Amino acid sequence: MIRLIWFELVKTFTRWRTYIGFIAFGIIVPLVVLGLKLGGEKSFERNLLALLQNDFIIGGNVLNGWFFGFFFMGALWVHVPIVLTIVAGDQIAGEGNAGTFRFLLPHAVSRTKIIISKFIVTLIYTAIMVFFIGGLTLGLSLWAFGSGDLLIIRRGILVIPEARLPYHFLIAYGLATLAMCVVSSLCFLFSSLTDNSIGPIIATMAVIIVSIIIITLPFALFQTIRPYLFVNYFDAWHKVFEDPIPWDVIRSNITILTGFIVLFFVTSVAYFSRKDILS
Amino acid sequence: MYIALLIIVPALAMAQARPDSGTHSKQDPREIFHELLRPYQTLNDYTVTIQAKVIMPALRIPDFTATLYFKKPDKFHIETRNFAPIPRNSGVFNPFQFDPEKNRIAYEHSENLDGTRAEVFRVEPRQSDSRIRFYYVWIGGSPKRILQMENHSYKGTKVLVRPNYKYVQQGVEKWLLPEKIHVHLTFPEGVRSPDSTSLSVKETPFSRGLSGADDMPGEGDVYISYSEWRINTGPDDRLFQKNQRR
Repeated sequence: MIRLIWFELVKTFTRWRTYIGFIAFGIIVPLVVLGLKLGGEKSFERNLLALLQNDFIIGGNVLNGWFFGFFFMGALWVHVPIVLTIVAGDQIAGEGNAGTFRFLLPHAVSRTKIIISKFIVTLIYTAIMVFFIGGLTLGLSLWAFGSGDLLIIRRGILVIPEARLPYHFLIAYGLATLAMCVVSSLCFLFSSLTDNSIGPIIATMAVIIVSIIIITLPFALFQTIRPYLFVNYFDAWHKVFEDPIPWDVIRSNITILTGFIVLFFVTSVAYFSRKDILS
Repeated sequence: MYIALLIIVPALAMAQARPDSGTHSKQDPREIFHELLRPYQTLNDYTVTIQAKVIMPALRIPDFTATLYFKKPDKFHIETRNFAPIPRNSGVFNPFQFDPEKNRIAYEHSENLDGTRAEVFRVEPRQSDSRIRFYYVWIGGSPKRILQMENHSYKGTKVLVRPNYKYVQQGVEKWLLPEKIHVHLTFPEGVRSPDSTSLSVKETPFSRGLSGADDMPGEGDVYISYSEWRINTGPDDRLFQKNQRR
């Protein structure tokens, strides 16, 4: 099984499309940091601290690297799934499209083992991508804006001391990885249904966009559907930055997100095991 | 006789009822404020370490320490790694804040403030860019000092400041400087006008936690302790380039 995973890892990481996400974020993040450094920081300060600055003089490095690391995490939510689907959507559909399943499947390895190894590689890629984006945004922001306490503005203002921040961010990236694994799993499921890797990418993004619209609009019907949509639990990472940390809510979110991953994976296995390989 | 009594008795009763409203300060208010300034005429700058505790439901921050640099007439610089919100017009000690040349000062009344006789003045900054509409300043004690101050901002925030002083000896000079202050802030009740955000649910996984602070509700307290005063050390002017306004 390990050899199979290794084989899939080599296949995935020798395709240039795997690096599209790394290249895209490798360009976008430094550009945004540069924009912030060249004056964008001031507009943040005006918007976020306007209310406080009426009555207080604000000291300290408020808009620091941790703050922008946190900002990037919130801002890149909708964009990260796009790059994840590029790889996840190609895992099964790509082989179907290339016609390589006909050579692969007659061998002694079972279909289930093949799909498990492909799924594990998809999850590994997802984790690497999230931690790459996290490391890049946080590393560059800390380098450009220095360190300090983290200011969070949500239902008032909460300040988390600098010493506790590495711990908070590590857990947050872990939870973000879990949320993104749901996206990859869904795309992986769509990939098992088709032989064209563009389809799973579009389908996954369509599901995410429709779900976002549903949870954003304040209609009673939509708000009833909301708990059944996986995007509703995407912000589990954000709860790590609350005080006190709602561990019971985080545990429940982890269970639900894991449930979605298992559901999508089991459905993929069930469908792929019975699938006629025609090309 | 009865008529005379009818006139005199209510007049005496009214005089009793109004606390000291009839006994105007004998001194010119401007002179009193000049007197307050006099001991600090040779103070050109100071550096002090502050430790602050903020108790506000809408502002949950850890206690912080900062070094505060001040230079005459109103330049200051705060140095700290922490997030340090310091109440405006009260947290940074500025002996020249109520300079009679820059403010309109009027005597209000006299009253007892925790057993100390205090004269209350209304001070209105003359500068058009001031965030403060007016102050009430309680002056009393010996030597005369500010016992209490209440400022009313244009935005509606009311801030009550109560300082405790101590003498700080530096070389041959002795300065009366704040040791601790208690600042009580009362924020105005804000009315948020409907905007485009009312068309969407505020709390979603995509609201990013950066939607900007809503109005600061209710009240709050800030306690600041001052220590390690260093007077007239002549800090570099470049230090004040970043945040140098009142």
